Formats: sequence, structure tokens, C-alpha cells
Amino acid sequence: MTQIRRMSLLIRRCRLDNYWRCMKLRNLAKIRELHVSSLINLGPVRNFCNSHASPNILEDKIRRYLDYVTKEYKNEASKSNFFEFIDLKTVGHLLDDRTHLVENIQNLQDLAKQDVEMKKLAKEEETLYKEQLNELDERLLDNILINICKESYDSIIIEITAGVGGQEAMLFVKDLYEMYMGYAKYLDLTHEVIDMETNDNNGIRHVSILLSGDETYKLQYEGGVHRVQRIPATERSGRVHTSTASVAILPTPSKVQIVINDKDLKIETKRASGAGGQHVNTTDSAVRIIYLPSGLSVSCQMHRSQIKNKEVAMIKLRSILYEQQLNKQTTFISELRQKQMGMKSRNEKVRTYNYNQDRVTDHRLQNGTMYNLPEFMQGGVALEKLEERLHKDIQMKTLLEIINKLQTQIKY
Amino acid sequence: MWCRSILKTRAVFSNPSISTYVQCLTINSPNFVTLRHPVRRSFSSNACDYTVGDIIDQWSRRFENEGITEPVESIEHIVAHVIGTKKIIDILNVRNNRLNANQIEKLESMCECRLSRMPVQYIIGEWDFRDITVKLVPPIFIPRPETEILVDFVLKRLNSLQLDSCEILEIGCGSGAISLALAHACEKIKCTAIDTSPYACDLTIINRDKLNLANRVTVIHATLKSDATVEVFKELNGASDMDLNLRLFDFVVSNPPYVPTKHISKLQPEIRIYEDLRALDGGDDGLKIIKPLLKYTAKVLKPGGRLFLEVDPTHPEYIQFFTNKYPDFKLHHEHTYKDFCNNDRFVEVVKAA
Repeated sequence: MTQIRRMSLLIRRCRLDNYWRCMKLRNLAKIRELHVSSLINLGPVRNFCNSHASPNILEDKIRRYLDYVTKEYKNEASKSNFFEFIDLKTVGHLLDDRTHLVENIQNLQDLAKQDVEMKKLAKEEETLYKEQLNELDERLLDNILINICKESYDSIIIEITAGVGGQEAMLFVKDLYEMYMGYAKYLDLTHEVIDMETNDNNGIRHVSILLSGDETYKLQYEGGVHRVQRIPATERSGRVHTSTASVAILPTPSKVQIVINDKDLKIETKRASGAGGQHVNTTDSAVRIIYLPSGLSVSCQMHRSQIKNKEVAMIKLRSILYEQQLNKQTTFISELRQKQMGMKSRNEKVRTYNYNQDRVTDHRLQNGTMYNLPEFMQGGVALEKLEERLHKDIQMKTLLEIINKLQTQIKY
Repeated sequence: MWCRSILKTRAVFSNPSISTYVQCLTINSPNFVTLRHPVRRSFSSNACDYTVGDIIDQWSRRFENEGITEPVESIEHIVAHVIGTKKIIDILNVRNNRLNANQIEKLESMCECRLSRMPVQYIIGEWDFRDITVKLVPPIFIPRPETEILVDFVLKRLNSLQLDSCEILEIGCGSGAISLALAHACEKIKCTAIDTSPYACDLTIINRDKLNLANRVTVIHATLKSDATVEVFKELNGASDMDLNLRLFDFVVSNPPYVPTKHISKLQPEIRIYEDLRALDGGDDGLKIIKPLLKYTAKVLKPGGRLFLEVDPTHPEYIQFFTNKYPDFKLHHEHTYKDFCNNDRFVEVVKAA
């Protein structure tokens, strides 16, 4: 219940117009098919919501929401912009079916009122219809949820930085780095380390990896503080230490989303002095770009080709500017997006890796504990499953916010 | 000639390793040069005990002491090559590993070459140019990073003109970097690459075949003469005979020799000793090749066709003067572009329609 209260507070804070804009934004993104087979067997509502609040209230809420959607859909004149995030092509016929079902049920109820003998018969048929309605509602909900929190980016930059814990934290960064590299291979993403800072002890202070491929969204909830509890390799007296590493997921925006004027850039290379061109032969291909309006500087020296280093540096710059731009917005959209992308939660503890107890616990989920840590650290199917759970959880939370929002606006 | 220029180094550097290297260079044609490693004379008697990190530290210090430029980068690239990667950053993961005896032998002979100021690109035998990796063999000119930007301008122009196909002539292809990068980047492009050095042509063919671009890049051993005609010695593709003075092209691209002769003696030893100076030496004013190139280009460009040149920062002004002085050539100086270091480096010339 406290969660609900908190949620409604959150919603009261947001303004309506932002919310619609948010929906528009989301619709611009391509439709991505999600695997929702697991939802068909279990009641999706119950499946989703038991972690948030008591199921009855929520089920009721969603039922009423679907009623409202159906009504609005039937009533074509009022094609309000609130349909924008519902894909009418796929959902339309479901809504038609639902209208029929509701009408049938209504008819049956009317019939039962008129005739006492029919009442028993009608009752039986009504339960049948209600079952169908439930099934239909589940499919409807699935289809609506698909479009919620749907993010697609061609590529992302994942940054892992050592937090508290000195040497041990850096060793943990290396573990995380290996986990994400394994995950990238598992998802068949192209991955490229674009920046890395190591220490003498085989640990990593900071690393950035550029990932691109169809399934980069399967990393979107990794952002946040990851905590490790174990006896460090560097520890002599055998005490358990707690250290942290922070993970940031930066979606790399397209050239259209972040337009950078060439005049705002100062590009520096080590070849700057002297005549350059054929007069010089060096192997140094490092590129540094200074973004003059804010003095922000990014650099890359990963590649032997200077122009590729420049490209990577530009990707980095665009990602940082994009993140800054998102952080500046203190609107409902950005709040939602930040939650989705885990940007806001950079400082939020999201997961604990406990080596002694052989477990991983994700703090954003109830029952978020998984065992078999070594397998998890390989970054395979276990991590993918966790990401899916997080995705569904956040989708549901978002839908509830939307519903609450609607409730306060329109009495339905 | 290139052999001679290298052989001079034997006098300068009486280093057994480099002379071994040079011997094998002179015996074989440059395409088949493989690093023949001299008898191992360990830099450190028990090198096998050192980690990769130690080796890098030791050699970079030695390079520094001996006045080798880019001491750290040099050894890092050599180590990366020995462990079979292109990226220096991969070394970070193996700093605590140890190399095996074979690797150490290879590494030490490569370092000896570096001590003789051989460019790292020749030592490891390859370098990256945009998205492609080209094999490099002394004394064929090592592509410079500036030239990557030249390719960028060509591709951008191609995009803005929205041509369905594009025939490009490259004059002085060297290792083939420009033509191959262009053909690799865009399906529409067909390149004809010529070079006056048969060894450069052979190297371009090797690089071309590695990239499977044989159907779109033709290599011709030909020379641009001072009377602004091109003499074809031998067409290396076996394709139809072609007179390069009659064919027309959409674009002409070139990174011609443009270093004024008086500057050649001041170049760093890596260039002066190891690179074919004919690929750099542009005569007294650096325009020895550029002048006939402009005249020749005026003949072979289609109306509306374009010439892209990499030049010395002092040259764009002359090219502008040239195009104004000879209106008969119907050339028009379109734009001068800067490189990353803010030098006027690239010139785009349009042939009037």
C-alpha cells in the first residue's frame, strides 16, 4: 500500500501535457516484438502486480482502464491522443472483440432479469463469456504493454567505474567487465572497448564499452551501483569486504537527435605541431575533441586509424550531451525515461553480488535473489532472464502510473 | 633506386639486425619480404622471466635513451603485433603474462629494427586506414592520417551529387589505401589506380585481393609524364587495353608528392631513410607533379567532374592562381579544406560542365 501511495504522489507531481508528449515520443520508436508467452498462462495482472500492491485493487484498476479504452475506441469521435501509445492496428480487433463480449454479457444479464428460467442458463453462459473476457483482457494488456517502456537504440555505451573499496573495487570492475563482455557475446552484440584505465594489480579503474546490435536494450536496466561482498584476493586476514562499482548505460543518440555544429568543436591531435601531412610519420592516432560551449572534452586513442578515433570520440561526445540534455529536463518524460534507462539511478544501489552465499540479489525486484553466482557472472542466460523480469516489472509500474494519471484527470 | 636509398642506411647504422633486414629486402622483391629474424642476441639474457609489462617498460626506456621517437607507442605496437592483436588496449589485459621464446625472439628483432629508426608500420608490416587494414612494405609510402580525411570529402561529395555510379582515377596509389578505402566504403565506386612504381602496384594488388575488391579496383602500372600525358607500361589486371589519355572519369583523386626538395633533408629519419622519396619529393616548389596533374586532369575529367588533392598548405593559393590563369582548362577551384591541425590541406577542383 505504501508503494501505491508513493506512486500516486509521484503522479500528482507531474503535469499532464508532458505525459502526452511522452506518449508521442514513445510511438516514434519502432515497434519491437516482445516475448510474452509466459503471460498467457498466468494471469498477467496477478503475475505482475503481486510485488507492488494487493492484486485485487490493481486488477480492478486495470479492468476499469480497459473498459475505458474500449469505450473510447468504440466512440470514434473522441479518438483522443491517448491512443497514441496503443498500436491500433494490432489492438483494434481485440478491442472490437471486447466490445462484442461486453455487449453479450450485458444482453445475457438483461435476459436473465426478464426470465427467471433463463437465469440459470444465462449464468452458465455468462461465466463462459467472462472467461473469454479475461483471456482477451490479458492479450490486450500484453499488446498495450509492448509499447510501454519500449526503447530502441542502435548502440549504447556502458561505463563501469570503481566505487568505494580501492583495489578490491577495481578487481570487481574487472569481474563486471568480463560479465558484460560475456553477455555481449551471448547476445551477439558487436562490442568494442573504447576506453580503459587499469591499475597494476590487474584491476580496472574505469572502462567504457561501445555495444551495438539488435538487442542492446537487454542491458538497459544495468545502470546503477553494483555492490560486491566477498573476501578480496588482496585481503590477508580473511575478512569479508563490501565494495562497489557503478555502471552507467548511455544510449548513443543518432546524429539527428543530437546535432553538433562543427564550429563548436576543437579537434586536437598529437600531429598538431609542424608541417603535418607527408612531412611527418607517427603512429600516434589519438584524437581529442573539445566541445567549446561547455568546455567538455572527450578523447579516443583506441584505433590505429585517426578518423576512427574521431568517430568514436564523437559518439562519446554525443552520448554525454544527450545524457546532459535528458538530465536537464525535470519533467514527467524524463522521470519515466530516467527510470527506464537507469540513468537517474546512477547512485542507486541496484544489485548485490555475495560470493560467500553464492547469490545475486537485485534490489529492484521482490524475490530478486538468484543463486549460482559463477554462472551469473558469465553473463549468459541468467542475466538475460533477470533483465526480462526487470523490464516487465518496470513496464507494469509505468502502466499503473499511466492509469493513476488517467484516473485523476478523467473520471471513468 | 629505393634499394639504394635503403642501402645507404647500412653505412649509417652498422646494426647487424637492420642489415639482415635490408639484405632480405634487396634479395626479394618487396611484396615477398618477410621479416627474417637475426640470430637471437637477447636484450636481456633471461627475457622469458619478464612479464609483458616489464618488457614494455624496459624497451620504452631503451628507445627513449637512444632517441627513438614515440618510445612507448613503438614498443606497445610491437608487443601488440607479437601477441596477435591490432589494439594497444588489449595489452592491458595481458600485462602480467609472459611471452614464449618464439615471441621474444620476434619481438627483439623487431625492436632492433626500431632502434634503426624503421617506421613501426613497416616493422609490423601493416597499418589501418579508415576501415581497412593495408599491408605495408618498405619503401612504399605509408598512408598518413590526413589522407583519411581526403577520402571523407570524396565520399561526402559523392553522396551530395547522388551519382548512380562513380568512376574514380587515383594517381599515385602507393599501397592502394585511398582507392581501396573508397571502394570498400561505397558499392557505387569503381577505381582505377595507377602508380609509377611497379612495386607499389604489386602491393596495391595484394591489398586489393585481400579485401576482395578485384572486380572494382583496376591497377595499372603507368606514369604521369611532365607533358601531362600518362604512359601505360603494363596493365596488371589483364583486362582490356586502355589508353588513359582518352578515358573519362567522374573523379580524380591524388595524394601526389608535395614536399619541396629543400625540406627533404630535414625530414625525420623514418621517412628519409625508409620511404621511397619519389612519393614525397615534389621538386623545388613542391609542385613538380601537381602542375602536370592539373593539366592531365583537365583532359580526363567528365564535364562537372571533380579533382581532389592533398597538398602542402602553401599550394591551394597556387592552384587557385593556376585555374584562373588557364581558363582553357575549364577548371575551377571549388574549395580548400583544412585538416585536423587547421592546415589548408585539401583542394577540390571542378571541371566546368
